[in-house]
Amino acid sequence: MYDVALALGNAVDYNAIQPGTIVIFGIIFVPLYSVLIGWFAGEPSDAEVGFLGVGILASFIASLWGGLFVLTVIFGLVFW
Amino acid sequence: MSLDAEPEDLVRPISKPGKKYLIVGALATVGVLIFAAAYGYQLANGLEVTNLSDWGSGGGVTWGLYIGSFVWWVGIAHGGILVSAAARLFELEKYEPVARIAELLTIGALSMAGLMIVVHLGRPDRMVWSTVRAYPTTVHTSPLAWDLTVITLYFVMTATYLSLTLRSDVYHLRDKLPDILSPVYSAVLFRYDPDEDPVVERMAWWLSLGIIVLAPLLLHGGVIPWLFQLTPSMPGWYGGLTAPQFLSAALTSAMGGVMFVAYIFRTVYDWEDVLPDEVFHGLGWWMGFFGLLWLWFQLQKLITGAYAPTRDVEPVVNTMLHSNLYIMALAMVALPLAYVAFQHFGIIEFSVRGTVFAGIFVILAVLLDKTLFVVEGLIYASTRLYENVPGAYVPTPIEMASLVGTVSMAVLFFLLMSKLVPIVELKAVKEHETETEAPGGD
Repeated sequence: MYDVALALGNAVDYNAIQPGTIVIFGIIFVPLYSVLIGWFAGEPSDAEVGFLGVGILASFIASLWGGLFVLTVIFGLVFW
Repeated sequence: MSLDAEPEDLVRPISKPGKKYLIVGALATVGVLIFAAAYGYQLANGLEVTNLSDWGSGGGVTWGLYIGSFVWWVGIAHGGILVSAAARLFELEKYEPVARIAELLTIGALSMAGLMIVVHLGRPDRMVWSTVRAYPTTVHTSPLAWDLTVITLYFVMTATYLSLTLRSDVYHLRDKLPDILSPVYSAVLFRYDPDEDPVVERMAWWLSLGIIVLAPLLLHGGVIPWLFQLTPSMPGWYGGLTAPQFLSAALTSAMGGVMFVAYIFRTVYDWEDVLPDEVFHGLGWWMGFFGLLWLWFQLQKLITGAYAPTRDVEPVVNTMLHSNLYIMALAMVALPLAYVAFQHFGIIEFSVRGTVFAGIFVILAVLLDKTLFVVEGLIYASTRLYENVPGAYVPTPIEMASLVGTVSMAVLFFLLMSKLVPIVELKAVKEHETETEAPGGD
C-alpha cells in the first residue's frame, strides 16, 4: 500500500498503468460494470432491451460532451 | 403505498399551465437573463472581473462562490437520486411519489454543477478539446480528470434510469398526454413493447444498485471531496474526514431540495393526495438525521483542530470558531434538526410547510458552509508563497448573478419537464393501473 500511495503522489511514468487509472477504471467504475452484467446476465433479462439500455447510455455520453463541445466552439467564435 | 390519487391526477401539470406557472416562469427567465448579462460581461472582460484569476499580487483566493456552488449543486444532485434508488431497491413505497421528482432534481442540479465549472473557466472555449486531448495523461493522477469522468458517469446513469422508467408510464398515459409533443413521446417509446416492462423494471433495479453505491460512497464521499482532501498544502481541506463531511452535507441538503420541489408541485397542483404529509414527514426525518451526522463531523473537525493543532491547522480552525457565518451555518442545520425531531417525537405538531422551510434553511446552510470551506482552505494554505499579499474574499455581483442564474435555470428545467412527462411515477398509484386499460403507444 505504501508503494501505491507513493505512486499516487509521484506518478511520472505515463507509459505504465498508473494508480489513478486503477482507482477510476478498477474501483469507481465497478457499479457500472455491475449494471451491465446485471442487464445481460441477471434474471429477467433480454439482450435487445439490454442493448437499448447501452444505446441510451452511449447516446447520453455523446449528447453531453457533444453539446458541451458545440457550446465551447460558440464561445470561441463569439469571444475569442 | 396506496394513494387516493387517480392516474389522471398525475398529468394535471401537463394539461394545466395556470397563472402561477407563468409567473414563476417569468421570474426564472429574468434570473437567467441576469446571469446571461453577467456571464457575457465576464467572457468579454475575462475572469479577472470576479477577482478569482490571481492568487499572486491581487491576494484573495482563486476559488470562491463558483466552486462552493458547484459542490452545493453536486451534493443536491447526489442525494436526490438516492431517494429514488432507495425507494426502488428497498421497496420503500412511501417515497415512490417523489422518486421521479428526485431523479429530475438530480439531472437538473448536476447540469447546474457542470455549468458552474464552465462559468469558472478563464477560457471555456478550450474546455472540451483540452480535456479530451489530455485525458490519457491526466486520468493517471488528476482528481479534476477523475471528477469529470465520474460526473459524466453519474449523469449518464441517472438519465438512463429516468429514460427507462419513463417508457412504461408514457405508454400507459399516452392518451392523456398532449399530441403536440408526439415526437418526444415517440422517441421515449422507441421500440417499446409492453412485454419488456418486467425486464426494464429489473434493469432499473440494477441501475438503482449501481447508483446507490456510486453516488454516496464513490462520488460525494469519494471523487468530489478528493478534489480537496488530497491536497496537503491546504490544511482546511486535507484529511479523510472531508469525505464524510461532504456526504452528510449532500444528503441533508438533498432531502431539503426534494421536499422543496415536491412542496411547490403539491401546492400549485393541489396534490395533497399525490404527495401526502407522510412523505414530507419521512424526508424531514432523514434530513434531520443526515444533518445530525454533519454536525457530528463538524464537531470532530473543530475538536481536533482546537485541542492541539499544528501551526498549519490552527488558523483554519480559529477562523471557523470566530466566524459568524460559520456559526450561522451550524445553527441553520441544528435548529431545523431540533424542529423535525420535536415534530417526530410529538412535542410540537407536524407541519408540512414548517418542515419544508426547515429544509430551505438546511439548503442555504450547506451553500454557506461549502463556500466558506473552499475559501478558508485557500486563504490558510500551508505554503508561504503568498503570505505577503494577503487578501480577503467577498463574492462579486458577477458570481452572485451566476448563482441566481443556475437556480433560475433549475426552476425552468422543472417547469419544462412538468409539461413534458408525468413527474410522479404511475406505479405510485398502481392499484389504478389494472383498472386503466393501456391505450397503446406510438
